[in-house]
Amino acid sequence: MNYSLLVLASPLSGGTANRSACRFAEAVISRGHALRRVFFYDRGAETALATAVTPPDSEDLRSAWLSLAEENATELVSCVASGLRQGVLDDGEAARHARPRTQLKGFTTGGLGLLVDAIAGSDRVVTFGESMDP
Amino acid sequence: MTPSVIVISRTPPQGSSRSRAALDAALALAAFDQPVALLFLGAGVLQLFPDQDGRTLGRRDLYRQIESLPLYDVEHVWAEQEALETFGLEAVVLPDFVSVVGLAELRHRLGRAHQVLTF
Repeated sequence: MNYSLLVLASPLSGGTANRSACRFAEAVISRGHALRRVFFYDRGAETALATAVTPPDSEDLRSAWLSLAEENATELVSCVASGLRQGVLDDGEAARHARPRTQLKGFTTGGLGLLVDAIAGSDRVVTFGESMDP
Repeated sequence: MTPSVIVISRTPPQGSSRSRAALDAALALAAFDQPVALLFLGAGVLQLFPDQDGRTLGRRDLYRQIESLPLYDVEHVWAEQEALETFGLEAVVLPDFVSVVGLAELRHRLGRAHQVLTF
């Protein structure tokens, strides 16, 4: 089957949903399914933030996402509008706003059209968000 | 007709950017001609409380954008009946395009949708 993921949870939040998404992505692939695209939206866009440093005693989820994408031709897309609010700038946005580039290499930037395209072109789309309950 | 994609919005209007993200996703699906329903579930129904203005909190006005959903071809907008009761909103006047739907029927509709996105 053809899967895409929608990731709303940040790897920096202290929660576990971003990690669950990454583990799920690995499981999808190891079962022989195709993982076309992961769309990082809302706080999930922080997954592409190059300037955040993972402490040595914690798992570096960014490198897990990157190696998964590299080995399986999965597209990692960070939402451009969410990214701007959280300081994730690709080369184009960095130039436009006169700031340094902060997007991790290996991620691409895109709008919600790429999420719509993933929904239309996948058998399954699975959302990973953090509970927003108080 | 059952829409092929259901976007579930279950967070209150303020307190996080998640409500805005759900609304933008529904609008994007409609803009690309995907038949979409936006479902306000649980605390998400608080987004439908009338005359709220996010600008007083220095944010964009979510409620005004919800009011304009039909203009942007989001034709199905549903609110969970049980949640409206929980939050004491049964007597509140909702925008006329919002249908109030009970959980049993929602379960049925969610089961028939091609994709469900939960915010």
